[in-house]
Amino acid sequence: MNTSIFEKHYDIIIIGGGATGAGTARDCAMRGLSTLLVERYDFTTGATGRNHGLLHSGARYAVTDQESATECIDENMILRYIAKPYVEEHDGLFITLPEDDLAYQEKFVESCWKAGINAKIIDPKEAIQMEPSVNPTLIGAVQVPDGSIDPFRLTMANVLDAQLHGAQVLTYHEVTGFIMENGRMMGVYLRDNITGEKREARAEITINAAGIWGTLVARMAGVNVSMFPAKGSLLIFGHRVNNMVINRCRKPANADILVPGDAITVIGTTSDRVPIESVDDMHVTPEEVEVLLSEGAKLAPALATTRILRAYAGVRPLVASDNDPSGRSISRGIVCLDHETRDGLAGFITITGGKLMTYRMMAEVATDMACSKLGVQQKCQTATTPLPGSDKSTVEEPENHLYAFNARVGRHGTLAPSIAAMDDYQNSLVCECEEVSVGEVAHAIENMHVRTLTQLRRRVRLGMGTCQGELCALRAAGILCASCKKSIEEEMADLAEFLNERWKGMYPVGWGSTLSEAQLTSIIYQDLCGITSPSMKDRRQEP
Amino acid sequence: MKFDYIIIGGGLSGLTCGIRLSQAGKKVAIISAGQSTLHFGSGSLDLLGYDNEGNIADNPLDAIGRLNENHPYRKIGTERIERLAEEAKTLLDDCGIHTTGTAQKNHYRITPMGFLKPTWLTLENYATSPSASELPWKSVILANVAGFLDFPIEFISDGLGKLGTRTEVEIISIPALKARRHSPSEMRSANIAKILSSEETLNQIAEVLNSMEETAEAILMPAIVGLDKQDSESSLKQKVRRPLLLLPTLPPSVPGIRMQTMLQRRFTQLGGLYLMGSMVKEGHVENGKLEYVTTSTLMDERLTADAYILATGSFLSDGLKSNYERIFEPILNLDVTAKENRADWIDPNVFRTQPYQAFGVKTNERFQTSLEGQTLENMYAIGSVLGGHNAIQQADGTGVSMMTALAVANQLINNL
Amino acid sequence: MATDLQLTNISEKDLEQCLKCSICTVYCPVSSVTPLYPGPKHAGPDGERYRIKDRRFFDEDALKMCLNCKRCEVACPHGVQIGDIIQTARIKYSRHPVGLRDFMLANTDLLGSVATKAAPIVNYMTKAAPVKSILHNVMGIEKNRTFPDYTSRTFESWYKKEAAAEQDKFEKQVSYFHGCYVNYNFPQLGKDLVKVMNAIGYGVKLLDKERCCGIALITNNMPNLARKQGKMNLKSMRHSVEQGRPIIATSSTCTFTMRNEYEHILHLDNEIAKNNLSLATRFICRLVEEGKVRMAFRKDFHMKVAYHTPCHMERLGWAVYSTNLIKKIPGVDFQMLESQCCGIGGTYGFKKENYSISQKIGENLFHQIREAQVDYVVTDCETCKWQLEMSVPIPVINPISLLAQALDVEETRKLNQL
Repeated sequence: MNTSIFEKHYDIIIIGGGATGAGTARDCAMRGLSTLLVERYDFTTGATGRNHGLLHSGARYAVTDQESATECIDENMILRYIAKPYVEEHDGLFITLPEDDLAYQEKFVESCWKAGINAKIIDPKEAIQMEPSVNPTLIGAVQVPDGSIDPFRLTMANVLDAQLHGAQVLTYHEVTGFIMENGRMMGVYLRDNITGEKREARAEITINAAGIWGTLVARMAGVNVSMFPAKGSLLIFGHRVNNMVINRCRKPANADILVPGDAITVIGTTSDRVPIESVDDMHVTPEEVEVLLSEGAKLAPALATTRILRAYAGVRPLVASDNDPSGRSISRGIVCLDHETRDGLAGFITITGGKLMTYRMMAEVATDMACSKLGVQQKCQTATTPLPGSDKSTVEEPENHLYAFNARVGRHGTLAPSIAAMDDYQNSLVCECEEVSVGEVAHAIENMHVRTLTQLRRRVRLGMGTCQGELCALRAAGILCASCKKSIEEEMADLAEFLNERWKGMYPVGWGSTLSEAQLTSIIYQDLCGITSPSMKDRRQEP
Repeated sequence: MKFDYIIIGGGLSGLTCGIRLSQAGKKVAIISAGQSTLHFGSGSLDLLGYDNEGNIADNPLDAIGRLNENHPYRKIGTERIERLAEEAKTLLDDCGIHTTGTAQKNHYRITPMGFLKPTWLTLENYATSPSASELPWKSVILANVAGFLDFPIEFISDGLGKLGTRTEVEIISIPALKARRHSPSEMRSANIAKILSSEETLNQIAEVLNSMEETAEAILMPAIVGLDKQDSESSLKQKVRRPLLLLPTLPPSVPGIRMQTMLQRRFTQLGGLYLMGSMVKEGHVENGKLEYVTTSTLMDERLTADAYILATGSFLSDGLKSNYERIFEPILNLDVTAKENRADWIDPNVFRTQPYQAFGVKTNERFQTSLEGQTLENMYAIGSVLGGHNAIQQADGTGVSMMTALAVANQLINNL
Repeated sequence: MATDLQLTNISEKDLEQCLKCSICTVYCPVSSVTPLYPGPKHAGPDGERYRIKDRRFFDEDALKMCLNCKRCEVACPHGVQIGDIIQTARIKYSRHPVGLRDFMLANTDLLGSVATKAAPIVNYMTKAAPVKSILHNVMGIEKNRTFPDYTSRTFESWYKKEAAAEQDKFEKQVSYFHGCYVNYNFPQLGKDLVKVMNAIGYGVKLLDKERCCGIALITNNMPNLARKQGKMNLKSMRHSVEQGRPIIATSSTCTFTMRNEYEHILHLDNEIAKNNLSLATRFICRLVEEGKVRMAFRKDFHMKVAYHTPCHMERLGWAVYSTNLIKKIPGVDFQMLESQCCGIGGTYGFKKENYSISQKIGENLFHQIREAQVDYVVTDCETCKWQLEMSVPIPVINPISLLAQALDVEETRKLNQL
């Protein structure tokens, strides 16, 4: 590790490697502030990596929360421009089913217009034509400018741009305390979560952008930011069932959004209050699966007979303001806390609330606040400057057409040509389901803070396809070993952890082909290869 | 169509049973819905690698008596297993599948990640060790083909090193393989083996291997020769000056495919009918007996036999199926041993005992199946479709396939 | 709705049953010989997931290399219709107009009806070096290929004149789907069929209207025409069945196309074909095995033959009928060749860009045949016949023709009380 990172005195330290933290780092760096981003694990490990990937039009909030709706549609339009390759502009439907109140539709459309969302009532028959998977019994349909967005790629693009503007980035560095001098926060104490080394880094201002974990970060600084952890579970289906987002046109409820993204479809979410202590280890329960399936099948009946690849759950970082047990009527509005005025703690800002859609706006608000404290005049440019990979240039298709090309451009936009694809070896596929080549793996290792298989999965979708890592995990492990100079033990543990993590998402939906797939994977890794978990001593619990 | 016996499933157990019955002069048909799990094989066959406590079984026969009483081996009994193990080895030899190893003492195969695992029989020319703690060589050359990703050489080299063997890694290529690498996805073991089936390419590979100057005792290379017969393997071995030994790769498995091909070849030579790509659609049961089956390809043709043998494998072969509500046997809905509650099928830790692995079709001591509690006297089950054991943990999958196949075949031949 | 949640899995061509086990990749004849074809797994279910997302993921040049042998489907343990996924993708996503060469190769009916009118000239011309050179260079038809000869008298015209009248005398009748090859190139096979069926007591009628089964149209991306012809064939079959006549054919590919491809690729309702169209060998074999007809064979017939399983026969799973039938001929010394693709793939091997692939694919089979040293190779597919005869100096015949040669017609008629 480059020790000079810790010697520098920064303008800003940002805590949290989700979309908000990365966006804030980008904004700060673009305004010329010297910036350090610290993340305790990997990027996108919190709510950023565990949601629908929905590019909200804001329609969902139009009736209940105009402010959020307006923010969403504004940001929606901005993201279409600045994050073009990471966005799919396929529009969405809000459907009314026979059991729903059609009268709601009118109110809904009116609220949408008020918020500036172009909502259009369409004939149910037309809706079926536009989106053949939609429940054919629908009695009403509204078309809205929903889309989907890849949160992993979006966050990484922000990280890359922050770095291009001079920001320093540290993953696997957890804040263990704050440097306080004369009642002012002057930086953070860090622990390297891989080596265990203790470090410190100094800055004028520290921004807490740790999502739901922000409440714990604030507590460490002695201030109280009360958050409301609401667990949301989702299911991933094996292929794209729908090509438009499908929502229910009614008050937001469980499992009423179906989003197509990459080669899959996601249904979500449930909503349950969970204790803050549990947020690091979320498991999807059979009851949640049941709700998601039965409600999801109402949006698109095909879900009842479509293979499910995995289940996952995230925690919404909502700032608690009342005791609503559902967590839904709470405003998702942005909360930016100036702890100097609020709690008398100078040098500390918390940015929270909001949602993936408004990450950029949150970053702007927090950076504005920081700039005013630092006396920096620079204006925010993040809304008008395209992210890396999103510039206007076109990517030339190579002549000897090799099939991972489209997948690379899909994931990296105009950055794709910087991925080595010159020779046969670099073009070899590591992950066949998601078409990840050796060159792309190498690119991720080199440029995207990758040392483990799970990181590789988040960066390039390796192991995210149908088979969930059946062959590619071991192929990639070999490459990681060679290029990261890791010990075999370390990589072996990484592989075991990766397999267990894949299983974590599979077992809640472990039936049909997914169970068969799991058996095949265990035959390959456990039986054929003989891999055992580092903690395999307890492998025989049953008689 | 009328047969003496119809076997549903054409993998290791189905073919073993079919060959044994054909050898006894019976008219046998095998109906196979597709290729088998031998395609994921290691080049070795396991009888019993680990005892009930998870310790390595030095002598598999000794450990059988201590297995769970539901284990298929317990239905056969140790003495019979000992005999059948001999018979299995002879049967393989008869098919041209030559192996080393005995049921009295496990030896060790080297896995594609460089671990040692106890095993029963290993194909000739594949690297093994008599000991769990060391290898027979002080130093070896570990050769891989350039660009072949399904042989994680870093892990193997490290694994061998930990066992005290010095490895020298060599990456080799020849023009034909270089051309194959142009395909981003098809640089697979079996495709490579197809290239390495001509004298010309074998000579080139041999030349490369012979040009290495290290003082290693042996050359270890991935199992990428000898796809449909052993010829190219033996031919290469002859051309190479140092002892040449093969190591299994990630699937598709060249030694497994060869076993499949050679078993199938022997079965048809003996007059058996092998229907590939055909799925049994329906079975008609009357008075506790299966009267006939129909298949996806032969349509309304009724296939009848004196007895039927179910050898359809586990979940990954569709011998067992599961859905949101239950686990079932898809052809006849035979009785299965499976937990009812979905949450009891799995363990959240992938490396702990996964209950579903031990689910299977219920049988009596003679491997007769049952339907709604009533024994189907002419319907037997063999191989991975049987429950009662966890092949991942006990390393006994291929053994159970062969032992139960032979046990049932002998039963039928001797009218027991 | 909640009662049938996740009890079954339904996906287009069972795409989702794919466990990514890669077994299919072992059995693809094309990817075995060229690195340019991505193999059935990638071209099929893997690629389809992305094509569903975005048409840009459709790689026409790569998918065109699939020769539609369906050996991947036979190998797949999970019933994924891999070959169908690939052919359907070609039809669904392609926006290229069909070129003249492919149009000519695929429209066998059109070509045949024109060519037979001037058969001697056509036959001479297609063998003439300058013509071949033009076909090769301008049209892209491989110069090393020889077109099968056209007959100057089609099977249909022979039948009408020489055989039709006799057929009404039989109490039991079948309709014969002769296919383009029998009609335009090789009427002898049709004559053999009539001879055999008549001998066992069946009259042979033709369908009201028979069009090319359409396999070449499907693989050359002309689904609409294929559908049109398919509908006409199905209509004729329906009429035949109403008249109490099941339909038999002598070509495994025509049979396969009408039973499988009509449904899976063209999405036609082909129940009538699935229930009533059979390969002649299957039809006869079952009659014999059920004891309904008997056959007597010439005592002086001795022949050493080897059976080659055409790819579509493999997919039908019916080789057992042809071989069982052949084995019933006492004078036959039979051996089974290991089932491998011959490489022709219908019109595939006639295209100059595919020629070397085609020959490389067939090499193993050619080798088997050379080793076998037989009088005849027997097979149920006419394009396999062309390929084998162009590559190995051993004559190739249909099992029905073998049967016709071996049959003692008089004795057989007596056995069947005719």
